[in-house]
Amino acid sequence: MSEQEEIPTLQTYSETEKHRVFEKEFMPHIDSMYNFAFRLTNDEDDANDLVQDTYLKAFRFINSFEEGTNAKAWLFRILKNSFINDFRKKSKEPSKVDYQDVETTYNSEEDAETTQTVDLRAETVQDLIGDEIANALNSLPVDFRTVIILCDIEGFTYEEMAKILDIPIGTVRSRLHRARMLLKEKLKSYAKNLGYDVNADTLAEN
Amino acid sequence: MISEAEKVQGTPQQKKTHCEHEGECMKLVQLIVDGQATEEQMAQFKNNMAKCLPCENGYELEKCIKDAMQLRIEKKCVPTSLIDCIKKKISGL
Repeated sequence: MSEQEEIPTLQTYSETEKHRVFEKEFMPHIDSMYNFAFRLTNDEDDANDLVQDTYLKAFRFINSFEEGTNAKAWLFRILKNSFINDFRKKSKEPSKVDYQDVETTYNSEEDAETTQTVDLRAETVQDLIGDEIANALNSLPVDFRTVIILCDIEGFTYEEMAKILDIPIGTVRSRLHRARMLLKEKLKSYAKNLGYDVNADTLAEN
Repeated sequence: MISEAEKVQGTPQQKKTHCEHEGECMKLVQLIVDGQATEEQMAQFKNNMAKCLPCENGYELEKCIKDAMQLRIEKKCVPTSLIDCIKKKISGL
């Protein structure tokens, strides 16, 4: 556990204050935390363990948190670190990763100049149901899934995401760009398998 | 009859169907959709939208996917047993 080294102690709360701050600042985010944990692990039991572990760490290091600052981003950062350090190694995630996706995408992550477009229409996405969208998201490698969850589902800014993920803002932008390209490919593939006409315009032109 | 939207965005017939800066434009679209664009980038985007069909379609697609992520993916409620367990452990510390 390295939070103690990473996050300096900012203040000293009394025992009563610790519980008050915990209840007021941390507990309101528990639903978001649980959903984030579930989307990372794809497993309810693992999500339970990850959230519990995160909240216990948050309480232990509460003197590193300044009341009134961004508690949600602070908690998400702890959860993300716990996932990487403790859960990722033992999770089933490695078998679910398409390493070709990772290789293709990571090789060009820092080079976002490369232009790629996916032939997919907004109307096709509107026709897909929530489960199909969720399956496409869940099929992404975890680092790409994470940026989409943080940005699109949780509504974090690029700056907040950079702090949560410990990466520069430029990398947030390029990783998000790559993640969305990959997601569009997955959505297109789902739509095609379900019989949707994914590129009617192209076919009409031919 | 030209609609208000067409006055702002241009009619489909007036728009170019190929974008020679698609890579750059799609990065701009991402900033717009995520609410991270500056005023200058916003103005540039509006200008693009008025003239370029691929930019307009790209924006519609990105916006649609983002909306789907926000609104159509099931959000789970945290089990009360987990909340109880956390509170019990915290009170014991």
